[in-house]
Amino acid sequence: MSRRTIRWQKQHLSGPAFMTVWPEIIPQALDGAVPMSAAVMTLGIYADADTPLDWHSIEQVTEQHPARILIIQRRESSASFDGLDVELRAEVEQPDDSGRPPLLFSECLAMTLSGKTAAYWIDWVQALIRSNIPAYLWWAGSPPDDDFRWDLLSQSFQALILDSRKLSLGEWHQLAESASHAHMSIMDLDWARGLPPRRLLAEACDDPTVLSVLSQPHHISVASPSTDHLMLPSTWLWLSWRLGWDLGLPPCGRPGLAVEVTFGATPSWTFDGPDGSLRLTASDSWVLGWSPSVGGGLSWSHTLPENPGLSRDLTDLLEIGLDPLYEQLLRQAVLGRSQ
Amino acid sequence: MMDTVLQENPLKEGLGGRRRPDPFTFVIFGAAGDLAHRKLFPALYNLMVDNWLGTDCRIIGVARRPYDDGEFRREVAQAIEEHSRRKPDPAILNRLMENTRYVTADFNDQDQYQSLREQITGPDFPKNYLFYLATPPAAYPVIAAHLGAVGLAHAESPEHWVRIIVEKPFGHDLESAVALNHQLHQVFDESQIYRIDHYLGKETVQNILVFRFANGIFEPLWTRQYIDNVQITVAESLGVAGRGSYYDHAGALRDMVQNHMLQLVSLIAMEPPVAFEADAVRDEKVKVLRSIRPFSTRDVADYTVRAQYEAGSIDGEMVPGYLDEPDIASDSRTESYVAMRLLIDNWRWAGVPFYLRTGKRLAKRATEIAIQFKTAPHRFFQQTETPELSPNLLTLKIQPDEGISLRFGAKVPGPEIRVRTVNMEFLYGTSFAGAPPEAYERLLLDAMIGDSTLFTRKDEVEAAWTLVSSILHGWQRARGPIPTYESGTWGPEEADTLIQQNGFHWRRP
Repeated sequence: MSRRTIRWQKQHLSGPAFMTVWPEIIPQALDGAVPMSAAVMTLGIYADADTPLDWHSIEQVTEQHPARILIIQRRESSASFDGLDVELRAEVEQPDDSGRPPLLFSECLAMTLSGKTAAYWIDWVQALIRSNIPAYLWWAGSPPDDDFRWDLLSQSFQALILDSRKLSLGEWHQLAESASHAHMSIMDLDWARGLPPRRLLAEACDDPTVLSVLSQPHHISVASPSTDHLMLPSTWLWLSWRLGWDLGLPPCGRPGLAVEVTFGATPSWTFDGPDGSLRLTASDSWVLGWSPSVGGGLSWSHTLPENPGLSRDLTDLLEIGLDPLYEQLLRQAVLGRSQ
Repeated sequence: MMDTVLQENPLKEGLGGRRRPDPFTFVIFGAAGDLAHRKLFPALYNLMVDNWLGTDCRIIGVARRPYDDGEFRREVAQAIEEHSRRKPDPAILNRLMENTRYVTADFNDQDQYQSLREQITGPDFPKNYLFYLATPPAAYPVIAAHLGAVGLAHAESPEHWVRIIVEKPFGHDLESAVALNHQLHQVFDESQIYRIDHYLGKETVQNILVFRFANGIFEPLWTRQYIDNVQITVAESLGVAGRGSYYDHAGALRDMVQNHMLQLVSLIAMEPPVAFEADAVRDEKVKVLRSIRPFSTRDVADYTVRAQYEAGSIDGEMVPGYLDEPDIASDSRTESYVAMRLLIDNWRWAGVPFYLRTGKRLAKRATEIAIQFKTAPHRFFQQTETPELSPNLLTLKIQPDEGISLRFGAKVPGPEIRVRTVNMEFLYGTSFAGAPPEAYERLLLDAMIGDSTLFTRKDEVEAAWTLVSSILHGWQRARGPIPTYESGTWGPEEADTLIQQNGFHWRRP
């Protein structure tokens, strides 16, 4: 088989005009042959209009997951033009001479919507979702207005993907709460990134001394290259929930316990207690080091993936799937706060 | 903050268990050989890349060749460079090499086992031990006996473990397999012995169980009521390829049927196990092997075919015949091809023939299991343009083009009823784009963790050899020339005759 990329783009198309040409674009590029689809999912990506598209990351995603990817960006819905600008990139495998039809491996449709097409984007996108395979929407933009039709969205996409590392707690809360009320499942890219360090922490806490320090630390210091974003906020919330800290995200604290957030080139968390210190750092590996007050230290490590990025995170997230532990965390740590 | 002291580890709850081995010392006997270089070290490297293997694992290569640690590490690194499915990352490779050492040893010398023992029971080595016998089979009992004699066959405490992986071939016939089992059991318990058949580590082979038992629609059809016959093909286009001296003593029956093909038969024919646990799965597999109707001498003549390849053309190139290959005796009667019909005498499969064929220098490389269903009971379309319909066929493609294909009839568009056979296809390569792990990665990891589901148990090995030995016995009594087939074809005419006795035809993979 040989692989080729089909590219097609058009600006200022009306919605109906696009729906008419859309089914013909790929067959026309294949001299009339109708390809078989290898797609295993539809992945919608909702992004703010001014967010530049990272085609390299998207291509990496499609290399891992044969998919129909729908990138949705909206201009102001008050714009005078009703319609969309479209860019399509499709990967097709053409059999050599076996008589089989070509295989549509993946297709990525980037759409910038304007006017009423933007205002009613969910109805618009619904028709583009492939049937009988899972459909996820990664919400990579700002939270929507209060009158957003979450009920319609939940009829189109079965799960909402968030990235809590890139959202404030308030934004995360708003999106998670709205989606939950619409009975959508919620998945979190940051939760997937945090699985290896969660396992390291859980493994270390088989030792009661390590567990006692982590349960009742005297002092916690957090080093972060950017004090706007904490390393693994969802994992931090998990620790807070499972160990009963009731601290939420830093900056936070309680009488007698300070959580200190400082600048640090290497992201880390350090927990100090009477029996020793536990330090989690992320550089080439997740490394968890235990320095007891008496006796020798221990360390646990997990190599970071070779190619970090959206594709890796998404692959890890899809492997985890809908995680009951994350659902409990959401209920406890985020949604519970609003009640 | 919680006021009470926590007794349980609250971070473990709901986290999901990823199977990671305890720290262990991995001792590879035959570490300078081809298997270790091509398969074992690349598998260890990839397990480390995927974080299955921690830096707390120690690897000791043992072989006769006189290396020092540095030379051995360089050779291992080179082997990983050449054979790993991933381009090596220097940092991870270094980590693996730092934990790898080499011991020069004569497998027959008890003193050298004593010194090995002193080394690996030292403070730098974890006290869980995994021994891998990647040596010629003759050395298996010798190594096992020496390990037992120096006290390395059993763990030093209940928290620790000792396991041994034994490569194929596991015996040369029933007697030798029983003897080898006995020799190993003198030293190791059955629970410590992991007999490896790399076919069971292939994703597509494991998928047979998933396909059958994770889907609701196929298992009700998986019986004599609906299935007409099953064909299992393991075809190779290569010849003996440098393995002439081994192959001429083994032949296709021992090399492929006794292990790989009978494993495929048992996975296809087994009853649902009560759990996906080692003994539950293997109990069901062994029941299948024991249900295969034994071959009398007459049955061997009627229902088995053996043959040797002659010169011919493969992919446009002329290739020599079997008897002209290097290291093959000019009067050899060893088969490079075997076909047979098996009957499984149990409730589910009574009367359904299982046809097996395997050979070298066949038309192309293909391993597949084809399950042919019975035709529809009522010929509803008999008066139409297409009175004869092809039976439905489910094909599990093990390699290459890994996937599953279902053949069925569909109406040709038009005013008349015309039926054409079409295929519904699933291809691993398109639905799961990531490169799958090599079989040895999965199997090594299972042995490290202590999951023997995909390893062959003593009674399975002996049941398979019982069947194969009856065929070997029948062949020994047979006189006359061995049939031949031209290289690049699908085998001898006698194999076609075998399957045509029941009105079937071999499928063209």
